[in-house]
Parts: sequence; structure tokens; C-alpha cells
Amino acid sequence: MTGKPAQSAQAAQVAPVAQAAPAAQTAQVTQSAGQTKTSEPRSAALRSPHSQSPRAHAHVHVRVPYVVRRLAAFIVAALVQSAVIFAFLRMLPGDAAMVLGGTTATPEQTARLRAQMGLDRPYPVQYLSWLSDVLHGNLGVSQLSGKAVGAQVGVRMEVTLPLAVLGLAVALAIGIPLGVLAVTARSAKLRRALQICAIVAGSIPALWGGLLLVLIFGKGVGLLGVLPSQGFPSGGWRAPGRALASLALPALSIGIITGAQLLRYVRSALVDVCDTDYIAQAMVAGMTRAQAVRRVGLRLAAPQIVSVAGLAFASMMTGVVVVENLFALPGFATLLMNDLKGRDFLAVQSELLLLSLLFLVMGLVVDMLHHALDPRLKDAAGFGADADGGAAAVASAAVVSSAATGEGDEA
Amino acid sequence: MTHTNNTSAQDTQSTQDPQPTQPFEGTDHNASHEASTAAASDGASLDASLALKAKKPHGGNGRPWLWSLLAVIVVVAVIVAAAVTNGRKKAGTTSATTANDITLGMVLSPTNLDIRTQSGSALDQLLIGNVYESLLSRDSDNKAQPGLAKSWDVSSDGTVYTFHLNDGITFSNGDALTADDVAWSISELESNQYKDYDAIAGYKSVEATDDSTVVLTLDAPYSQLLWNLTGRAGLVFDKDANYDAKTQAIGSGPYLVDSFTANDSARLVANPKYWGANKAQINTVTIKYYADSNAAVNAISSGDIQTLSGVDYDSVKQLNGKGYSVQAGDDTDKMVLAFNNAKSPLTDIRVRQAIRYAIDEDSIIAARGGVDKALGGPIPDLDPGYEDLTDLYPHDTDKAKQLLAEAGYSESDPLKLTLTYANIYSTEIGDQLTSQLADAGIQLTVNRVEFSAWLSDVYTNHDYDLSLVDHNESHDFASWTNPDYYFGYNNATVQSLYKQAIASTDETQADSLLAQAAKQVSQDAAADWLFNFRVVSVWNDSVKNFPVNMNQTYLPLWQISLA
Repeated sequence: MTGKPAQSAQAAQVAPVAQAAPAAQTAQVTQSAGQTKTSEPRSAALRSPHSQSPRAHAHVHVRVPYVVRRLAAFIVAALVQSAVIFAFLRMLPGDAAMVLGGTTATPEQTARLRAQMGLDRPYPVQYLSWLSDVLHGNLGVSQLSGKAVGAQVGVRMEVTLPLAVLGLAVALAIGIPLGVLAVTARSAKLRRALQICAIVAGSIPALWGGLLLVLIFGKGVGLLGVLPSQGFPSGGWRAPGRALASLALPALSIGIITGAQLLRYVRSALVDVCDTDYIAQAMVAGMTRAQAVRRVGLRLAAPQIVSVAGLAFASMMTGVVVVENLFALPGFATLLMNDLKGRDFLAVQSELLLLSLLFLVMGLVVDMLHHALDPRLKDAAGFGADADGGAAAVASAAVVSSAATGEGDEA
Repeated sequence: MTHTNNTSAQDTQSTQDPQPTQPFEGTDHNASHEASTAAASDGASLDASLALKAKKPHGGNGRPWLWSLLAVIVVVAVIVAAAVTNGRKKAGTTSATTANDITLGMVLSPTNLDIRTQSGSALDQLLIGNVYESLLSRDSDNKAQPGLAKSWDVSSDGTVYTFHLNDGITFSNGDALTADDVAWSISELESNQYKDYDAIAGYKSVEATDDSTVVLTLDAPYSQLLWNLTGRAGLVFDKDANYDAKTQAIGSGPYLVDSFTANDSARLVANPKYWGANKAQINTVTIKYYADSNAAVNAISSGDIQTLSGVDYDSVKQLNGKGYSVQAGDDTDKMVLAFNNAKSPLTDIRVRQAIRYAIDEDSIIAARGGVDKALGGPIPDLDPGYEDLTDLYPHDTDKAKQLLAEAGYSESDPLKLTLTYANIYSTEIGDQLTSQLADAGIQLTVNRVEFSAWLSDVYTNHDYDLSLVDHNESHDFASWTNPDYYFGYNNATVQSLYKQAIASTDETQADSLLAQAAKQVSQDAAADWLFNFRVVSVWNDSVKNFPVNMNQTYLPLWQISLA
């Protein structure tokens, strides 16, 4: 019995590595964990909640250059990514002219289409003309559909954004309370059971999980048959009840899986914190262990949890591909995959750029939240900026490559 | 009970902690600060404070996660409630509106509405005969019938076609459709080399001699012309209308495009200005496109859509008779196992013949549910020139081995080939071919790629050994006469027979010449024709007259009605 906490702490540290989480997430967690562990003597952390007001005052003077630096990093990262996206897409075989031409096109017809679309221009010319359009706020016109990319994305986001928000809400509602319970539960069996559930639920492919939910709740096909399992109402959010109902099963399918993964992050973050002296000290001060974990531990682990949740949200924007496909939802991921399949480079470029901007913005938000949640970082502002900018860049590069390779598996 | 339980639990926990005393070592001040706050708030001894604290987890401090749990329950409850009320509403409204709208499920989606530049049968299916109309139309036996033109005369030498248009034809924008529009559409087709411009082979000129008469002149007779004018080559557009053809469609057909979103849905509404006999019986037709066949089958089972076409027979056969009809339609789809005739080792006819003998088409058809038809050559039975050629290369593994041995292959040095095909076709078919060819001693590597990659590598660059495509175009024998097509098949006899066939003014003679040419292609083992793909359709019993035959290329929506 005596060796139990140490053992489970070890298990928790192994867990995030063993699971198939995106590399970027793992990187972010270890990085934040590093900050938590090494940056400051513990006395400061314990003192800081009581001395927040004078420090917040000093903080105003620090933040101006920090924000500027952070934005500069943001712009550089965005430019680099635009170039990377453009280059990666040109490595794919085929183009929109071939796709439109299909299996009956003569070489002359394809060449004619290519010229109409401007695909016969040199790459640097194409890149610069796209970049200048984007800088003027014009995301271009889809080579395949002939519709404005911005408008197309806007329509699709009406489905995907609520889906990701609902999915994240489900994930947080599952991940945080159960993650805490997995550390504080008195019964070792319960803790173990939660851990096993998290591993099992977290490794279910979204396709299976979604199908299972359809078989249980899907209207017309499921056992209970209460929720629609197909499509999005054509009137969109003008019928809010129907729209919400059609997102319920998709949101649950990604939310449960992400929630299970989040549970493990929360648990391991809390176990890490429990290894520090804060919990012991809080207990000496009179709290029970459960109280100490919830009151002190959760607060200390908050920055890591926020990082993971932020990235989970951003990666949901790409992770919804399978779910949107299964539930026949006309969302952003479906649009991106179809444009990629159709080699609509102009549309894909702009869409991927928007997506990587989302990652960068999430990085920025997470970073600001770190500062709000972890007073120790206020002294080391510059360090945080570089590290998070880097992480966001890694993450969005991962999106580009997963988008480029992912569609190959899809059929 | 709770009291004692908690105290003992806390005791075990503190003994479990590996470093219970560490905080005291260097941080005495802070620790006592913390302790004194706790003590002050409780206003009692340490034991008392522990006892008091111990009760709280169940009351106050447990709240954060309890609240979250509550939040989940509330969210789920709201969603379920919304779904249930919405379900009730829907059940109430469907019966009232059935007569006026229908939702059809399809598998392949067009990418935009520009039928003049974009290929693919999905666009033909959506627009031809429904939104745009052709000079001629086709019946369910794939024969040319009057369309915009009510009659036509052909000069005795077969080079001058005179078309007489129906009276009072209007476009959906109110413009009259006259001979000028017809002549303009055809001359635009030819000068801009739009899709199927080559379907008017030997085009010389087109002229409107009066408001309702069009004269089309060819350099040489062309026996396929009339059928070809039932498709894209015969479509008539409004010469005075200015619109973005990718997102809008202005035609003379019984339906208008209300909205279209690629890979999602198309919504058509009845054209109130429609001029002719093919009046729409259902006011609003929505076509939903499903990339995932599970999703499509769920949609028809749950009643979201009333018909579904283009999915595997096995996935829907259980619906037959349970309020649904399931039927396979005749079609001109040829599932072709293409050989790169221009690339070694497939330049060797023994190798190609060995592959044909090694393949057991019947077992492939059986594995797919047994609805497809055997096809021994390049022409399916709905097209002119059809002849049953399935006996030419019966399944015979020994013969295949013998031919391979003659060609210089052995067990120690087997023939190795790569099959490259688009991932729109199933993995199963690749697996079956691999195992069938393995029985004959051929090592097949399967490379399943994206359609765009296939277009680039196989179709454009001819970089492949074997490939697999469903060529669904009707009247497409010409691809076997073009050595530059990706088949790389070059046989002067076939080319000359085809030339004679299309130049013939006698239909029977043309058909027999085509049949000869097709037999030659099959004898040369220019490819293996795995089967004539028959499209499976399912429809709810309330749907009447759903077109089953050829519905992937021509889907007359105006025929459909609701009981």
C-alpha cells in the first residue's frame, strides 16, 4: 500500500507518451511541466496568490513589449507558414485542371483550363499574387466551385465551430472532473478503473465511437432513436433546435474521445503536482488530500490543462474530418478534404492558412492565459513567448502534413 | 459514519505520501502562515480543524466537478429535448408536405455547375434533361428521341443535318429559345473545345436558317451524331444571358437550380416557365451527396432521404420489401482492368492474355452481390456494336501459367506487376485480383491512390502497369482507337474499322463494323473487362417511377412522382 502513489505517478508519466496523441500536444505538456517544475522556488508560488495586486501593477509595464514581440513572432510564423503551405501543395500530384477534365479530357482541353486558372504561371508569381490577395483580405475564388473562398469557409464554420465548441465542452466536462477523481478517489479500484476507461475510450477511433453512438441514439437506425444521425438542416441555425440536435451525436463522438485523453493529461498533471511539496504542505495546513488536490493542485496544474485544452480545441478543427464525414455534416473539414482531393490549390492554401492562423491565435490565447493563471511567468515573459510561438508553428505544420497525408487513407 | 470514514481515509493517505515532512525543512515561515490561516478560520485545535474539514468535501469542496457533471447532464438533457421536440415536429410536417418535395441520395457529386468545362457523369445526371435540355433526348433504352428539336432531316450523303425546333421554347429567365441560340451553342462548343466538342466529329459549320431551323454541316458522315446530340454536345444555352456558369444555370428544362453546394447537396425547384411536356411533378427536389456509404445507408434507413443510388447491393439488400424497393439498373459502366499496352512487359500479347485467363470475373461479380453483368469486351449491351464476347478468355489458370512460361517467366522469376487505381473504388477488388493473379504465378502489388494522383500518374503520364477504372460513358469506343489515350493501345485494323463504322450512313452496317472492331480489341487482350457495373437504387415505396436504368448519367427528375 505504501508504494502506491509513487507507482501511479510513474504510470501517469508513461501514459501520455504511450498514447497516440499528436506530437505537438505532448511537446506542449512536457514543456509546460518543465516550466512548472523548474522556474521558481516554491515559496514564491505559495506567496503569490496573496500578493497578486502589487505584481499586477508592475505587470502593465512589462506587457507592452511582450505583446509586440509576441505579435512579431505571430506575423513571421504566419508568413513562413504561407510559404510552406504553398510549397507543400505544389508537391502533390495533379491539379484542378486535371480534376475538372477527368477521364475524357484531351491534353489541349487540360492546358486550356490550366491557362484559365492561371496555373501555367511560374510558382513565385502565383505565390506572390495569392499573398497579395490575402493581405488585401481577399482569400480568392475557388478554382473548382467558382465561389469566394472566404464565403465558403464562413458557411462551413457555422457547422464546424459550434461542433468544436460543443465537443470541447463535452471533453472538459468529462476530462476535468474525472481526471481529478482519478487522483483523489479513495478507492484504489475506482482510480484504476478510471485510468483503464480513459485508455480504452481515448484509443477508440472516432469512426467506431461515432457509429456506436449512431447505433444507440440514431433516429431510424438506433436502439433509442432520438437524435438525427445524418446531415445538417438546410436552413442552418434558423432552426436552432434542429441544428443543435444534428450536432449532438457528432459532438459527443469527438467530445468523449478527447475527454478521455484530457482525463489522462489532467490526471498526470495533478500527479506531477502531487509530487511537489505544495500538496503535502497544504495537508499539513489542515486540508485532506482530496481538498488539497482540488484547491491547490488543480490551480497549479491549470496552465498545463489550459495548454492541452487549447490545443485540443485547435486540433478538433482538423480532427472533425472523420466525424463530419460519418455524420454527413457540411463542415470546414469536409470542405478542406474535398478541396484537397480536387486539387483546388487556391482554396486549400487559403483554408490551411486560416487554420494555421487559428493555431497561432490559440497559442497566443493560451499564452495569455498562462500569464493570468501562473504568476511566476510574469517575470519570465520573453521565454514564454518564444516557446509558445514555436509550439504553435510545430502544431500548424503538423496540420498541414496531416491534411496532406490524411486524405490518402480516407475513402 | 461519514465522519469516521473520512478520518481514516485521510490517515492512510498521509502515511502513503512519500514526503510528508519535507515542507517543514526550509519553509517554516510559510508553512506556519498557511497553518495559522487554517487554524484561524476554524478557530480550534488541529484535530478539530481536521474533523471539520473532513466533512466538507461532500458539501462545499466537491463542487467544481459536481457542477461540471451537472452541466453535462443539463447540456445532454437540452439536446435530447431539442431532438425529441424536433422529431415530433418533423413527423407532423412530413405527411403534409410529401406531395411537394423529395430528397434523393447520390454518391458522386459534381464540383460546380459548369457543364461545358467540367467532366464527370454526376453533372450530366444533375443537369441534362432537368435544367439544360439537348437538341435531342434519350429514352430508357439509350436511343435518341426528339428533344428541343421535334424532327430532323439528314441529307443523302449524311453530311447535312437539318433540325426543326419545337415552338414556344423559353429559357427560365424568360428569353425565347430560338435557332440562333442552338447555332451559337454549337459554334461556341467547337471554337472553345468545350467538353465533348469531339462528339460532333467532322464539324464544318452550323447555321440558323430561320427562327426554328438549324442546319449542321459535317465534312464527312458521322453515324454517332444523333445520339451524341442527346448529351452535352447538343445542349442549348442562352446566348443573351450573362451569368456565372459555375454557380448558376439558366436552361430551358423543367427544373431550376435553387442552390448547389459541392459534395453536399443540390436543390432544384420546378421551373414555372417550362415550355414542354416534361412538366415537373414534384415541386422541390433535393439531392444529397454522401461520400460515406455508411452515412448514405443510415440516411435512407432513417427516412432522411427517400431514394439512394450508387451504393453496394449488399449494404442495402436487407431493405428490400420492408417499405423499400431495391433494384439494379442497366447501365453502360464498364469496369476496366486497363493494361498499359505501350509499356513492357504488357507489350507482349502472351502476358496480357495470361492475365485475362487468370482472372475469374464470375467470382468477382459474385463477391459484389451478384448484380453486375459479365462483360467480355469494350462495348456494353446498351451501346451499338455489342456482342457477347465473354467466351474469348474463360477462366483458365493452367493456360495462364503456360502462356507465362512461353513468355519466359517461371516460379523463380515470376511476372511482377503493379496495379494503380483510385481510392474511390474498394480495396476488396484489388485484393481479389491479387489473389487470383497469384494463383497463376503473377505477383501483383496494389497501389491505391487519390483520384487526382491517379489522373496525374496514370491518365496523364501513363506511368503504370495495370489500372482499374469504371468507364461509364456511353458510346466511348473511340478511346481504343486513340494510341495517345492512357490504354496505349494501337491497332491499325481497329482504327480503320472504327473509321468505317462512324462514316457509314447505314445503321446496321455501322453496328456490325463496330462489333468487329470491339472483338479485335478483346482478342488482342488490350484490357480485361471485369464486369458491366449495374447501379443499385433503393427507394421508399412512396416514390413512383424512379428511373433505374442509366440513372448515373441521365436522371429524368420530371418522371418521378410521390404516391
